Amino acid sequence: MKPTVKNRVATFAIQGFVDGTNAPFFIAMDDVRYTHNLKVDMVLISLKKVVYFNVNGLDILTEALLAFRKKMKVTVGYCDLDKKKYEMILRFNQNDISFSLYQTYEIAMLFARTNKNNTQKKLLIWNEEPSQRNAIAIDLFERGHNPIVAQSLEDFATKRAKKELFDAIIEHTYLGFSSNKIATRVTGNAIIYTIKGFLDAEIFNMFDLSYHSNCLNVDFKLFIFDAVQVVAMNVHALNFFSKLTSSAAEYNAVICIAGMEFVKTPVAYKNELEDAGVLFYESLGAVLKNKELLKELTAQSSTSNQNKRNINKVLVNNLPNFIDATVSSFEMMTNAKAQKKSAAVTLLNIPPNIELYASSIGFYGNIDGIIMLVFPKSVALKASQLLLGEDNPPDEMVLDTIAEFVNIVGGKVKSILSDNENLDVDITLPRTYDNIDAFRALAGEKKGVQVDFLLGSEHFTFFLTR
Amino acid sequence: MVTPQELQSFIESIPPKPQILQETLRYVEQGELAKAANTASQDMVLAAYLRAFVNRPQFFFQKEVKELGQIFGILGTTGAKELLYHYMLHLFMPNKWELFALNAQRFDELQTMLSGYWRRIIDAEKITQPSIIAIISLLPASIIVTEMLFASHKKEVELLKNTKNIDYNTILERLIGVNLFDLAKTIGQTWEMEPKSLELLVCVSGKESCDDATLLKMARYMHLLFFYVLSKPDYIKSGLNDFLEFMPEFVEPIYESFTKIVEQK
Repeated sequence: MKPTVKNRVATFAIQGFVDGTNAPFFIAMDDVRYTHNLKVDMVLISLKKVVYFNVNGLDILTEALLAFRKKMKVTVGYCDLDKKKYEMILRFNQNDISFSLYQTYEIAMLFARTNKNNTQKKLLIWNEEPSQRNAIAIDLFERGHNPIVAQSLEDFATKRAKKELFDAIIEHTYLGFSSNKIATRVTGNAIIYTIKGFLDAEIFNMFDLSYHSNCLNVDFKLFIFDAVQVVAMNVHALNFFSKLTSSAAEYNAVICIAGMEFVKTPVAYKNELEDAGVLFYESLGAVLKNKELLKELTAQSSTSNQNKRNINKVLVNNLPNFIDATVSSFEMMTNAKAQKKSAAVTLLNIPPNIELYASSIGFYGNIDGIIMLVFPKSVALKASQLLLGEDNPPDEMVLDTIAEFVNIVGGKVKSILSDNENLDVDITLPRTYDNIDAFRALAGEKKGVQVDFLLGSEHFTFFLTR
Repeated sequence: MVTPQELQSFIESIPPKPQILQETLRYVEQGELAKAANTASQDMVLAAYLRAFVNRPQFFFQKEVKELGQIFGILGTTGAKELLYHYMLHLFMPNKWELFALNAQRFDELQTMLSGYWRRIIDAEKITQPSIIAIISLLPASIIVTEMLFASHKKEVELLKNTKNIDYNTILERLIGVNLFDLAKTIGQTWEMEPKSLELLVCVSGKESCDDATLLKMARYMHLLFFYVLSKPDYIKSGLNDFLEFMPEFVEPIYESFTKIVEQK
């Protein structure tokens, strides 16, 4: 079976009975090869729908997970574990495990390296092992959350009785080896990287440059390094930040370092980086809580956009492939026929005063560009129904589903370009917008191909640019 | 993706019960096994199917059993009825499997395996209603329905499943408001199967309410049995492990007794 991929986390959802005879077939060689080629930070096996497993079956699945970790340098583990399954896995492994266990898929997502969720969550944590509950708390704190650790079972029971005070309660969770990649989260229009310890040449390995480039490609403009836990940096790390600042300048993006103290690091490094364009702030909070400052930084980075890369011949030649991928995905999700109404090379032209949602996904490789989709809320809701199965989901869920939808479009583009044109591309993380003005700003003065469609009685717009 | 028109054309494609099969079944239901054998012999394909089935190694016959009268005698009323349902589904099977890595032989083996375990459950639960005993043959109809409806949408489904862990039954329900077991029931209705047994079939998804305690219990067994068999290596390799959503909480009340029954030698 192939894994489901969301937010750079691949999940195998197996069902039924797992033992030594059938376990090798849940993740077959083809699935292993497929997974190796995914750009993910975490590989999970969900045991939610498993009614029985034994030690032999679990050993085989664990071997597969550990092989993924070795080959892909990712965090691996099991998720969706009730108390019984959690305790069985610990017992089978004599309480010595090197992979992670997550009570639910949602809890696993809190530990994903690339965390899209931008709200700070208040989390109650309990694990019998003090080292584990501390490790969990530290990890979540570094990801911008507010963890509360229960110090004893009684303390946990007391706190849990007031569960309305917490966004989530975390138990039956165990952190094994995590990948040593730098944790990333998205807050509004800013990407936040958490760095710590002594920064040396290893930072080049720990930093996911491909992810950073993707973010630049899809027009993220503000990158903040939370350096409050950094002890010092050497010349290699200085070199790293200098290079990063140069590439950011090409996209008019801004690099900030927050909370860094120059006690054990030469102040000359700070001056050098400031000269290169790095902005220093006292703390992450000083950047994030200062709305004016954020606005100023974003505006500063998006003005004088020298990165106007208009549509080119290669993209136009492949237009039918992009249209095909988009239309068939819309038709699949809404089960309605789409009709092309008009097509033109133009600046993005969206009718005013309509309640619209928008999303974008970038692709890069043999060719590069951005697909932007704009549609009324009613179409977004219809497209969400297949994935959500709810008639009136909250806006947050709809936006999340739109991201999944545009990911399907991106996946299809990748597959069509590879099959039909022998072109190899990768896709970026999708972005969604419930504020159409922010979306207009993204399109800016870039010309592209705009194709307007009618889906039933509703319009949707496809815009392809670079 | 699957449209209401495709669904309609699928329903229209369900073949009626062949005349000879219909008569054979009628005689079986009346307990007239000799007449049933005589009628079945008029259909060479049916006769060959019955002979091939009974002479499989699991029946342990030292000499080949050729006479249909003898075959019906061996099977008895319930077994004969069950095998005739097998055959009906066999007639409805696609010539070429595209969505699932299956073939006629592997599908037959699946039916046989389900029937074998179902017989143990029926015996353990002391169920005597023929309708409940024979309906196991129609359970794999849900696989055929999925194959027929989704084979031409394989790539779309793959893309969808890459993004969301969603099974075929849920896709169908969300797209056109019909589930696979509703369609299996439609097949059963076309073949004039007993309403009570079809009611059981609909409950197997674990998502429909069921007022009859016995039917509910047997639906739980059938749901768990289906996934027990679909967890066998051959069927995981065929892509069947995740074609339906398994509902562990639905089978919880019978889990312990199920494991005792299927593990008995």
